[in-house]
Amino acid sequence: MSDKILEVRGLYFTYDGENVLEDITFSLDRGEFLGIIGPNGSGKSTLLKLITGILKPDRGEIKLYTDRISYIPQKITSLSYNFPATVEEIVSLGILSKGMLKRISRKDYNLIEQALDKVGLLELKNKRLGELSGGQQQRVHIARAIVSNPELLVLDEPTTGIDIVNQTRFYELLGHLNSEMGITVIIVSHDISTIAGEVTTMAYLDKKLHFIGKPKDFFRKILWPVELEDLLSR
Amino acid sequence: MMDILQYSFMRYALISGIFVGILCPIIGVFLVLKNLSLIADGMAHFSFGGIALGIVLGISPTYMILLFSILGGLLINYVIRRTKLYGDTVIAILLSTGLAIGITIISLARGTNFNINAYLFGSLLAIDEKELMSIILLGIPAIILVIIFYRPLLYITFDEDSAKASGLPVESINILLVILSAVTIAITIKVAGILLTSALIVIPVATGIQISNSFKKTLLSSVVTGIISVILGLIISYYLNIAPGGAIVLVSVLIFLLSISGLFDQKGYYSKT
Ligand SMILES: Nc1ncnc2c1ncn2[C@@H]1O[C@H](COP(=O)(O)OP(=O)(O)O)[C@@H](O)[C@H]1O
Ligand SMILES: [Mg+2]
Repeated sequence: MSDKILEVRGLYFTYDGENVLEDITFSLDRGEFLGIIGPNGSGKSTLLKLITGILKPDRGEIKLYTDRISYIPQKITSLSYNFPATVEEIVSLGILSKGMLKRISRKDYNLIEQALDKVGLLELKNKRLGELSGGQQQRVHIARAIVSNPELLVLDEPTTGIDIVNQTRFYELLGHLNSEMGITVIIVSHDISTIAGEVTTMAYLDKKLHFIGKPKDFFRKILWPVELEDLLSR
Repeated sequence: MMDILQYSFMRYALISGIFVGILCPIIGVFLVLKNLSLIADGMAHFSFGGIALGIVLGISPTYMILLFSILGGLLINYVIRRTKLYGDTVIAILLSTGLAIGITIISLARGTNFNINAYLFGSLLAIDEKELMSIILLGIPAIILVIIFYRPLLYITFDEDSAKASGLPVESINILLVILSAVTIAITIKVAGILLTSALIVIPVATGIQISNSFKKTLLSSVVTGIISVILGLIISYYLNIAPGGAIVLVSVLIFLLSISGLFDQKGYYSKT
């Protein structure tokens, strides 16, 4: 029997009376690396917000078999490039998922340093967030997300605006977190080719879940017809 | 300088002012970074309606200010979340509503002996022992709550969705922030008046952000700026015989101008991204 971490059944979500997600059903095992792709406005971000409990479903259910979730949104609401906090201060926020009034102990500081070390930013811990490059800032968010030792890591288009070399490095880091630390990862990306090599499961979302399965099946069953359709409609 | 402390009203003014100098920045830093600099202004103006109502009904204005700013803050918070409007639009509507209610009530109650100026411009030098007590009784719990909830407040300021996904009760923390802001406003209106309350909430924080590299230093330098502004402003107002609220805000503006001139810049930071 497989060990499920997430089950979604018959999920619907509407914005202003319009269905954004329709009848989404799937489940995910612990230790998997799920890549979700789909066109703009297809409901990817909405699905992640439902999974992480930020939004509530209109219909259907979401069962999470963990409460240790970390989420990195598509856009950080505060204008993070000018936010007056150091890398270390941002990462230490991740500790709060253990309890909102938890004091940061000596042990927690070690965890913060370990997380920073893992993403290769230990030397920059006293820098203001805005002094870092886009790729480095993204790794700060990863450190914040993993410092509380999560079981599920959810990322929404984390590599937008990051150059290709750093994107590749970023996916290697995620692959490491997934395979070495056993963290289940769900990532939304518009970049099929980069994630296809890293993920264990691939999903194609466009209001409905048109496909979920192995990457190789995805390329056989989905990408072809989609491209074909694209060609034919020109 | 010590001679001004021989008057009890100056001592009360100084203690009240120091409370304001501490409270305004430690609440303001979260409001400013949430892009809600104007919310304090909205809440303060909205409470004008409460002041007028309180005077007519014979209820202490301090409690009415508290009640109305909490009400105003929660309304702004709620309407921003439930509508498609921008925050500053919602704040502008609420601010004018409160003022209009106040003006209407005052015009209806013509003849009541009502010193409007004290509320518009502040009455720092008129604070008596009883009022000082209420400032202390409201101010100390507020400061303690900020210390306790410092990190959760920082997390929801940085990113609400991430905080919510990690299990933080974001709505409750937001309501706490509104209530703490209301307490701050109720106290600050005594010092700087409705018109200048938001100045004390925003300007020292702007200085702190400008000269600091970390959140801790931002908080610390805003508080130091707030306290210096109050003390210096009070002394200046005493010797020049001018309104203390105005003097305090002008000192804070002066410090802010110095901060953007680059005078206090820490090594390695003064780069706009
Ligand atoms: N806060 C919102 N209010 C109204 N509609 C929204 C909101 N957020 C997203 N939508 C709409 O929901 C649909 C799905 O959005 P989203 O999940 O962000 O798509 P994706 O992440 O795949 O680009 C889009 O049509 C978008 O316009
Ligand atoms: Mg999206």
